[in-house]
Amino acid sequence: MTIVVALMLLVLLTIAAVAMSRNSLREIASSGFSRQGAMARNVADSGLEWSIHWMDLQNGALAPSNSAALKLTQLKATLLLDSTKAGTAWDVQSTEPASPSQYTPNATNLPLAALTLTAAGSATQATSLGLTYMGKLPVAGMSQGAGTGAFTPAAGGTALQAPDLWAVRADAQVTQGAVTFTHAKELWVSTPVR
Amino acid sequence: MAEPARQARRRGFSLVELLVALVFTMVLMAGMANVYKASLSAFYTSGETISSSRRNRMSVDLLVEDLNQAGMFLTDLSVPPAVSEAMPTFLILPNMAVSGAGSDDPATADELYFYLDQPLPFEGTVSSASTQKAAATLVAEGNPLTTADTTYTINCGSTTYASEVAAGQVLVFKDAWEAVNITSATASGSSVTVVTGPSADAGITGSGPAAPASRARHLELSRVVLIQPAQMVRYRIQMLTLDPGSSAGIPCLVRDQGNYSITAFTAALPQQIIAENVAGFAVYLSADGGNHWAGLDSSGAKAIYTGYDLGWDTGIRTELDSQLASSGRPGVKTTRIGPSWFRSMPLLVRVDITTRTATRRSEYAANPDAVAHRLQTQSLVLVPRHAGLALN
Repeated sequence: MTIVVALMLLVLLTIAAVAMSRNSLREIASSGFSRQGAMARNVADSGLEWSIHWMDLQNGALAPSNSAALKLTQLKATLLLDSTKAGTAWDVQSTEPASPSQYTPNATNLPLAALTLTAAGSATQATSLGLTYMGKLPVAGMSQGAGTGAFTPAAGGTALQAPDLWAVRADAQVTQGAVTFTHAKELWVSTPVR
Repeated sequence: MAEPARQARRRGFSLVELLVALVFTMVLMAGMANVYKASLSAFYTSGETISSSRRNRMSVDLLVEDLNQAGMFLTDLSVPPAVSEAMPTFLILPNMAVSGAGSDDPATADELYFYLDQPLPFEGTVSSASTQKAAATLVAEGNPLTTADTTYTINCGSTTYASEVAAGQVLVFKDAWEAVNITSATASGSSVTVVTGPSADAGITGSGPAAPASRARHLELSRVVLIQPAQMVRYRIQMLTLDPGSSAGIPCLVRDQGNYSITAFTAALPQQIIAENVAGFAVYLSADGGNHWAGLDSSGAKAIYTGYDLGWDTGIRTELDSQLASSGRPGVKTTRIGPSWFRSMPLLVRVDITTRTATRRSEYAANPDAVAHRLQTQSLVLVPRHAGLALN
């Protein structure tokens, strides 16, 4: 009987101690959320940095065969050739870049293998990328289209043409247990005409 | 003969024994009370300190996101908005008086202002219901544009998003980059029909195109971005009466946002409270990688100048100019190149945020007879994303 009473008191004491330290527990949880949210933000940033590197003409020429980077350069070429594909996001990881699949923001798209990290017992991080061709960079004195605001077509070499304008969208996910943290970012970047 | 022995065994404690035991117990209790008091103090102070840390960390997280949008010019990528020197795209007013501050509150704090074109948090798509004609048709007709030619139906994906579209915003088509000013918007379900035209404010604030949309027809289902142009954001400490027990209010770090004006800042949107119990907010700039900070004096203490003329123009900005003169890259030797200089040079921005505990306690005071708040300061140092863009 004495042991039972002692055990009950011990249990009550433990409950009281946990209840009193709930602020600390809440802090542990919120700092964890903050860290994983920051991870998701960093992964999205990494996806954009990766795209900036491989969208560069000289870097793109060095893309390894059968790589995600090569797919990005091929998708870029596809979008430049087909103006009807402008204004819509296309999945950088499309199986066939010449006939790309549409990219849906905030949905499950193909994760970029180069930036996917799966670690047992730890957070899993991944990002997907969508590429949109946005026409020419509206440099002062030049524009595209017809009618008011129409332009004088550049004469001569490509150096006289306005650069191409692109939008890259990264949707990053960091999964810890049953919770997935997401962070989306979009980058507008111009590249020289090729 | 056995009786006296039994009486002796029945004798209790003597008075002296009891007194000794009582004194011993009291000493023990006094010791226990001190331990209890210390643990109770540790319980409260750790909770308050954790709360202060959390508020500080959240403020830093929010400021990172916001500062990275400073100087974002989206409505016209090639021409900076016509902002004025009196209200440039990035401005620090140091050591401004905190109105209504009590003796325990910060008497002064910095005010941070920056300009951005703010994208709405969603993308739309050009609906097939849009009525504008094909460019070839318009050119062939040679007629002036009609309202129908510049009316677009945008699918926003949700009723809430559609209701956020309003006149004065800018629509950017993503198929062939074109920014147009919205003169009227009528939401219907998750779609909104917008009429575009020249912006009345374009010449004053740079808040959108001065001309109507071109006659180019945009691709059906092309994505569009909606932008609230020419927004000015202000961070500062303000006394807010959030605590019924404190009629003077408590110092809070607040974020205000309003339409850009070339003369003065006017808040238009509901105020956002970033953190309560903020005891300090200071902003410094460096153009030499953090070796020197404009806003600190030669001894490393915060400079005492204040206001626009002394604090900003001949204070922080002049110190930044002297850093640029010796350390700036070629062609970037001064900030006196126009009100959008912020975008022309990579700058380190440092923000010091000091939060305090909600309660004053003797545990936090240097002198045990006094009471004080516990202060925690964190520094955020970053190069904002739009500082150093070469475009303009």
